Amino acid sequence: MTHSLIGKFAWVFWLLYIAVIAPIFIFVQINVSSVLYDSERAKIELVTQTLTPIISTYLTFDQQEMLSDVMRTFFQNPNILKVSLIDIHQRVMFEQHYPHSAAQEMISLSVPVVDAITNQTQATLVIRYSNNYVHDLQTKLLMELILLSLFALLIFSLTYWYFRKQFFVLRLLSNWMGNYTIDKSSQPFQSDNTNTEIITITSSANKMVETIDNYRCQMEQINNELENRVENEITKRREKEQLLIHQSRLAAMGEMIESIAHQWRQPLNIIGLAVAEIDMKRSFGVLEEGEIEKNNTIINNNLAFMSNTIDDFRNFFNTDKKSVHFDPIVPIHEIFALIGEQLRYANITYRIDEQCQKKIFGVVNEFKQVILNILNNAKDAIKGQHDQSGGKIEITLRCDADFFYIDISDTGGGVSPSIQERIFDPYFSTKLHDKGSGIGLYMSKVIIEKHFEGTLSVSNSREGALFTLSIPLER
Amino acid sequence: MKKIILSALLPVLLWGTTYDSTLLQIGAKVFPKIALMEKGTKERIQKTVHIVIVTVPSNRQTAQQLAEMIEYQYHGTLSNYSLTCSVVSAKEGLEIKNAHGFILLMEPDENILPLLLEYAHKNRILTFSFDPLMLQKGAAVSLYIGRSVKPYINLSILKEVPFTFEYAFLKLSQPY
Repeated sequence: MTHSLIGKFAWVFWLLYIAVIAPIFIFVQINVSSVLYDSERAKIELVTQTLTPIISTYLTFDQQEMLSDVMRTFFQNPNILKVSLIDIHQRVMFEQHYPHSAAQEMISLSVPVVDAITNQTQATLVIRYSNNYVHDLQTKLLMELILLSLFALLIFSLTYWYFRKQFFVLRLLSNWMGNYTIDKSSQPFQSDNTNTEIITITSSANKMVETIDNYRCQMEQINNELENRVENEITKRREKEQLLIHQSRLAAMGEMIESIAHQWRQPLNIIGLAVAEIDMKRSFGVLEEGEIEKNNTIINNNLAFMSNTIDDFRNFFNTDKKSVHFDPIVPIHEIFALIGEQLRYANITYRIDEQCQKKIFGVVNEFKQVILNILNNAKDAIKGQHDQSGGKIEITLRCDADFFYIDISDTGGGVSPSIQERIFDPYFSTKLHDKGSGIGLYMSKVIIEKHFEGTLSVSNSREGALFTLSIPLER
Repeated sequence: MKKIILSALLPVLLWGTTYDSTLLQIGAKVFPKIALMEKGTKERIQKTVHIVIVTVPSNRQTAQQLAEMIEYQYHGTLSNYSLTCSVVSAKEGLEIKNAHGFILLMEPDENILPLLLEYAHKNRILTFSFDPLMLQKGAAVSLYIGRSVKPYINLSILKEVPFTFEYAFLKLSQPY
């Protein structure tokens, strides 16, 4: 079965033709034949009934010539081939064949000629006729049907050929459109077909392709512009992030310098006292060798402590970006070693509850930066309470099958619900202008989400804020 | 051959007082049938077809012979009716009721013939004769003797009375 419209039209045409012609032919062959047979017999019987009284009259008056004339009138029906008149003694009174009749299948019809007056049978009229004309009619009809079919076939073939030629341009147009790609421009479709419909279709296709080309050019321009804008935006964003990181680092450095100042204050004081003791005893002349050595040891120990503090500071801000599996408790202790003096100075105690000892994957220094930011915020919040009794920071390390959780709670009063959604925004700070840059928590969230693929959230506990870090274990 | 001889002798025979028996047989055979071929006559028949032979005394024996021939030919039955045939004189004929045909066995110059014909036509009774001259006088049907014997019909009388015959009969008849 073809898929072309013209092909389907051809199938439908022939199916309809066969559906109409075949039943007609079968009907003619089966029904009309018998009808024609009956009709012919009825016609002959009618003629016989009409002529029989006349024949009877002529027989009565013994009119042979007129009888012959009447008998010959039967042959006006070309299907009657033979007419006989046989008397009651079975003698042939009259008999005549149709002059041109050939030996054909004949049907016999015998009719008694009865004298209407005496009711006596005068003779028997025998008529032989043929139904060959019905066969001839059927043959003629068949031939006409065949001729009609051939004529229809001829007409259809010409029509099919003409429309196929006319519609062939559509196939060319289809191929042309099938070969069209938006990657390159194409020449307009050319056709010498002058049909209005075809011209309309081809011009519409050309116009459509031209429109697509125009849109393609516009899209290319827009894409180029978008690419440039995206590239610019990415560059700006990177620069901004670098700036934020730099600012964050500077802020952290400020915090660390303050921590160092706190860390160094005690050893400097001890060193100063040791030097003063040596100087005073030397001026009084009571300086003994042992005293010198003892104070020297004290000074060396404190200098070593200060040197370690500097090392810790340097390690904290090194540029090592290598991701490793590490136990988070270690950097947390290191942070508290750095800011422990500050906390003690602010009368803030801390407690670490290590319920899980699994390792997480990431850059250690970035993790330290996050913890330090949260602890500094906790320290500032507790100090902001103006409560001389100090405060408390608790860190709980826990985990489940998939995540490592670090809860950092303080007694700093918590985060107001109105700003809970904004505290991770860049440059958002509740501190005084010279105290906070507003990028610490933003960078912390960026580091946890992008570098550790975890989450950083905040909620309020009974006494203050609760920051929760959720870091996936399997990475 | 018989018909040729009959044709040659018939005028002589008719002029005489005797009728040829063959001619009489033909008349006996066809006249009753012709009577039944006339539409009005057939409609008037109730049970019996009454054929009356009107004759003169000189033809009385011939008339009787003709009556016997008719009886012999039809055995008293014509179609679905009974057939009676009677022989009467011309005067008696003028008083006959319910007759369906007069067979005239008399000479054309009989004085009573016009009255008899008038009576017959008035009562729509077909009149038959063996003499074509009788047609000239007003009889309806006679016998024509040519190559074959045919009915001889008087068209003017047929129109005047009128008598209505079947097409086949009119076609084979010789008009007068």
